[in-house]
Amino acid sequence: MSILDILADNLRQGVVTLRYPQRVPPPPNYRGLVQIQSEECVGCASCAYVCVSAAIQVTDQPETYTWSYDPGKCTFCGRCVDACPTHALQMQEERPPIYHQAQKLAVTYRMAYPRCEGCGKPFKVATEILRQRAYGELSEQTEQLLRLCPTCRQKEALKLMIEARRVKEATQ
Amino acid sequence: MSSWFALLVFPGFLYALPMGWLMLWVERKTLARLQSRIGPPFYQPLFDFIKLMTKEPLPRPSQENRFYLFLPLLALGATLGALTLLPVLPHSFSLVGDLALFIALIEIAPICLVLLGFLSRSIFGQVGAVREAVLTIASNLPFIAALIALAYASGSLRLMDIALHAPPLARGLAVLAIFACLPIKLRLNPFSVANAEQEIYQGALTELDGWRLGLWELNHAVEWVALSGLTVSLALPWRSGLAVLDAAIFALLSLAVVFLLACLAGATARLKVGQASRFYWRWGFGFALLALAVSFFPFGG
Ligand code: SF4
Ligand code: SF4
Repeated sequence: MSILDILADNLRQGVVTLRYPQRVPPPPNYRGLVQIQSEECVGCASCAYVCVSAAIQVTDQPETYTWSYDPGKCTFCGRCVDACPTHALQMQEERPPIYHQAQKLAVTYRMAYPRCEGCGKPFKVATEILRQRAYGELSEQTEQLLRLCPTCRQKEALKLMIEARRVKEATQ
Repeated sequence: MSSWFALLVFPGFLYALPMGWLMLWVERKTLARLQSRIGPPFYQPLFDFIKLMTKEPLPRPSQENRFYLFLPLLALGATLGALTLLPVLPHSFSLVGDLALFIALIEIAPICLVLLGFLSRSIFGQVGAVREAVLTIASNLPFIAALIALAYASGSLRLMDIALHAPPLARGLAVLAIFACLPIKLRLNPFSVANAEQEIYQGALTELDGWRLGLWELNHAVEWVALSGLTVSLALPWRSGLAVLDAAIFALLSLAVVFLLACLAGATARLKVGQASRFYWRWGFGFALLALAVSFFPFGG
């Protein structure tokens, strides 16, 4: 096919592009804006660690942490979604809107660390998904231990061990 | 008519500015239609210019800043000066030997571009500068030879005399040779080797930004008006004497030249620098040589 045929075809076919604001619908599995389900997030910052363009940042405060995302820096690579151990991140399947102000679509979530059931101090918890992935099915007792902060967990585990030894000695 | 009128009104500044933008638009729109795209609205080149001029420029060492201001301004001024000399209106301002002045002025912009490329200290800028230099030489050979043929055939170095009195055969061949040089002088496909966007990031323009690029783009728009205008004003042996009518015919035919060039650009792909310069040495120079031969040894003369 010579270039003249191609040009003639193009002219015959007419215009195929759209005038803004019309846009071509995105293909399936399109990688749009990153979205977080904050209740699933445990503040591990894996997403921020893998994000090469520093679009996601996770900062630690004593009782809370903030998760922020600036789509203006995002390259929509999807690495954060892959890295999130709790599947808290997803990408929108629509195109991001067009905006004129920097930072317009930036979002920040401030989330509180869950509190220890023993002493009430905030701590980084392993969510259900993480626990299952690491230990498989857990007994009720282990589940209870994992809802404690590391200090309380040590104390509680020690108590349980002493208790077990006492029971063992009493039965011998 | 006074030289000020020619410089500031027609065919100078007041005419060249909107016409240049219109030509940039016609080129982009034609290309878009050939590629089944909608293409930009007609005011796009103006908006592009405003946007570039209002952008915050990158900070640069003051020495570099001076050159980045001076070179585009020099190019713009020289191209406008060349445009002023075009023989459009029969009683307009003209000088003895304005042909030589025209050639000198129209060649300043490519030289500025070469300097800008070397100044950029970027590998892309320098490759672009070298290509621009090679191609300028290659295209100027037929360009200047064709103009010499016209001057000799009409017995004058004044553009208006050439336009009105050149014999038809020499005129036809020379105008063809000049037209063949336009794609290289306007850096269009298939000879857009020096400013290849994909391969060398616009070559010598790589480091231009903000108003510096804006000024250069303005110069480019005026180059369109000047070079298409030269072709048209030398091709037309006749003037009505009515300024408005002559100006309108000139404008319309210039737009037609732009349209033809855009079609050529749309139908071709970029050549290599060697192929491009070979083309000019062979074909461009071939036409120009024929024009020279015809004007030095006219049939029946
Ligand atoms: S998609 Fe890529 S660039 Fe965007 S936030 Fe996630 S990791 Fe960062
Ligand atoms: S990787 Fe997932 S769980 Fe960890 S901070 Fe990011 S969103 Fe939260």
